[in-house]
Amino acid sequence: MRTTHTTIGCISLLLVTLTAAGGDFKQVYKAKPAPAVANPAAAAATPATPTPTPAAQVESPQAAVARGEALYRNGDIAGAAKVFEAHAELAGTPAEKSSTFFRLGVQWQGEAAKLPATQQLEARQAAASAYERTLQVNPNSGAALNNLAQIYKSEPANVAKADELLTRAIALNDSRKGVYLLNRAALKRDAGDLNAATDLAKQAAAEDKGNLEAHKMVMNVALLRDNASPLLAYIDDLNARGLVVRALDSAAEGLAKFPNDRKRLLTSVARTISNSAYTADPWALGETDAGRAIGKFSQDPAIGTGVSELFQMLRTPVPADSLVWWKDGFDKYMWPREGSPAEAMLDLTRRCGEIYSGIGDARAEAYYRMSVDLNGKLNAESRALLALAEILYRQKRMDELNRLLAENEDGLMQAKGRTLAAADHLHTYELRLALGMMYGYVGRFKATTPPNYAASIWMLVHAQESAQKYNEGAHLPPAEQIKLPPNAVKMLSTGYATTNNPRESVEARLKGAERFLNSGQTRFAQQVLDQEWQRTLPNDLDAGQRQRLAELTARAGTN
Amino acid sequence: MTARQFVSFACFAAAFMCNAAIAQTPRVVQIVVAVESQQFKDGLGATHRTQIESEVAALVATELGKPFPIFDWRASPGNVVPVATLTAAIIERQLGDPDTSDPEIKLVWRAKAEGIELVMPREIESTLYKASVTDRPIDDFGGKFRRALGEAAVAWVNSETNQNQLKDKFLRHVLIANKVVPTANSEFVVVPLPWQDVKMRQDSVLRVEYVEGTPDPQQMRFTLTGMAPRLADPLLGSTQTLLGNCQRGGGPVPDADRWNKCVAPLSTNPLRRVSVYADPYNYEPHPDVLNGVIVNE
Repeated sequence: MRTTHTTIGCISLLLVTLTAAGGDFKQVYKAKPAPAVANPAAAAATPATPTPTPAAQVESPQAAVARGEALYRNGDIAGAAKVFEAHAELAGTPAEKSSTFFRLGVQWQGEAAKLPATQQLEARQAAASAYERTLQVNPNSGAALNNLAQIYKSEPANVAKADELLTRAIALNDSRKGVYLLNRAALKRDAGDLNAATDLAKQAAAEDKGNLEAHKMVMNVALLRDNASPLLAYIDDLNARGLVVRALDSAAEGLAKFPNDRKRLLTSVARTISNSAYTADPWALGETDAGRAIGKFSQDPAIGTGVSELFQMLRTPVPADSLVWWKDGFDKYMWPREGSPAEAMLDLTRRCGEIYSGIGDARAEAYYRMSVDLNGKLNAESRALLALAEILYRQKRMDELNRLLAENEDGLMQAKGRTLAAADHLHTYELRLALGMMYGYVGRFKATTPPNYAASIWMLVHAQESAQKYNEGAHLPPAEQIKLPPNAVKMLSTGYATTNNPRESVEARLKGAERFLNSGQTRFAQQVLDQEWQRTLPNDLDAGQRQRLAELTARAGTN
Repeated sequence: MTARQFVSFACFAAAFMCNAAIAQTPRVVQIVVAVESQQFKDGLGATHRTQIESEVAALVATELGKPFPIFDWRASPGNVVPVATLTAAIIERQLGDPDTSDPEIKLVWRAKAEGIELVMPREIESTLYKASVTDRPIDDFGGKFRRALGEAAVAWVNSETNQNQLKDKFLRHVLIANKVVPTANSEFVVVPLPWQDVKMRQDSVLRVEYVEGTPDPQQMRFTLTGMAPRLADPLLGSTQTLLGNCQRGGGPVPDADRWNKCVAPLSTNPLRRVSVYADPYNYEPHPDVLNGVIVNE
């Protein structure tokens, strides 16, 4: 029990307080006295009909309220309602009147829930009447529209009216819109229109991410469905909005409800943990409510192996080859099938790599390796591979870096072949850049044996060409056009210098700086024209280059 | 919307006419954004950096006000002394050889409450620019850095796991009130938090701490549960609660003694210095809606 206030007394408090609080009650009352009784005590003793009062006699608010209370206590709901409404009419301004009727409606609505069934209808009618009166004074009272709809929705003959009222309330677009949407969702759900109910509840959830009731309503409706497709779509929505804990909880609920869709739901769990908004430690999944619920399916014939493998790989990286359930959708050659467990696991392992890399944890490397292995021989997505290469390069583990390149070079080349054939210049640029940097890391600036393109200089030069083609078609402003980043420009310059081509080495930097300056990216120009590099330049540098270098340096403000 | 009984709504409605009269404890939490990365400090210059910091701090404060309206998030607290500070720092972390690779640019969070630095987990750090991304707008060309930082900060705030970490590691240590009022009937404890503004779900819990007893002062700690609006004086329109569990000096107080030992001393002189914390705070978007009915226009 939360409160101890008497309910009947509240009607009286309401009327006395609100009409008086309006400031004009006495004046209004005197100017326009309502029919009243002379003796409230007598009224209390009279069960049904109030005793008429001579029109000239003025009834105090307390007396009028006492009379209404007496009627109420004696079971004359309609009579009490009449008395209270008459007094509500005495409120001063339209705003006060609307407000008073609204509160009266709320009170009757509350009373209706507590009265014996035989009296509930009358109390509801009293509430409806008060709300109707509110709306006469203020047609845009969203709260009155909503509450009146809540009364009508329980009356089969008035369900359509309830729907109309809620539609009007939603159209007001006020701060209670989420409430109206949810109530309309419940109405639709109860009418069996689950699609509309889902859409409305989702809209309410989108209005305010913290609206747990809206989330519960979406789940409530989703779990009434025949299959998990609507639930999975909702989980995708939650992931898109960063609500990853709810996404996991929802998947866990779905596992219990939809035995035939467990595979898709478990796959969604991996996708959720891969979400960059999931910032908890992945290994701690088992300690969460969702993790515990999912863990209960470790013996399930359809997903038991997947559950065990998931928890195992979250605790510690495992060889990709050791996975069974999560390899579904992976043929070792192509990128895993879209929506497959393997695709989700590929993303999850890369994400784990990113998380652990970010906090300097050595597990990052093994997770990146898992991701690279799940990428397939046709290595179309190079993020994990590049991240792994960077780790090896930073740690000067050149043998392993060479091995990594050897293992994946062919796949990257094939992927590049496909993007070239498809005139996909953006991905061609990315793959060439990745290859160019990896070749540079291992010191293969120029190919000593065919093919001549399998080297850093060739790849970086052609990456810039792909960038140019992409920029020509994309119509981007200069600063947003893709171009070799400063470290790639430096890598290219180093490549030329290392292969005894000092003029091209300088030229690579000059062209790179020019591109940056033309795009307004002064700091990048400064980076590629850094003073330390300039001090290493030979005295016999070509006069033309020296002149351009001086001009570009001045433009970049490097001096 | 909660499962409370549908009672006394007229009183409930009337109560909120008096909201303005509630004595409120300042619950100001200051948001600070600090660009500490040397690369970006050099590139931005002091004036531009300060401008970006204050703009993004205001953005973060607005975003945090949505899930946590019980706190008064401010980028510029003015004359008010904040009870806590949350800092979003943009730092650089060198992972490899500085001669050959750029540092990572990270967005890290630091928190301080009542002068004490709180340990925030490293998992909630986010990476603005990886070491491999050298195309980083250190001079904010075209507003790219301001946009990237703003987006990263907002995405961070909106992550549900980050919000959980904030609650667990930070917000439960932030003072939200320094007074509670036991009611005369030894049943309810009223907290001067305006019910409609703080948007507290019924399953939130408040933790109250104070020191009691001479000559052997003991740390008193009790919880308050069952959040509801206060429908009568004193503190009409504020938050009414029920006494939960209680500890004295770290040991549990028997149920039969809880009110007298834990709450009643707060009604007597001398006035105790009381600290109230939300532990946990759970957000309720519509505290004036019960079973689909709006009880306060």
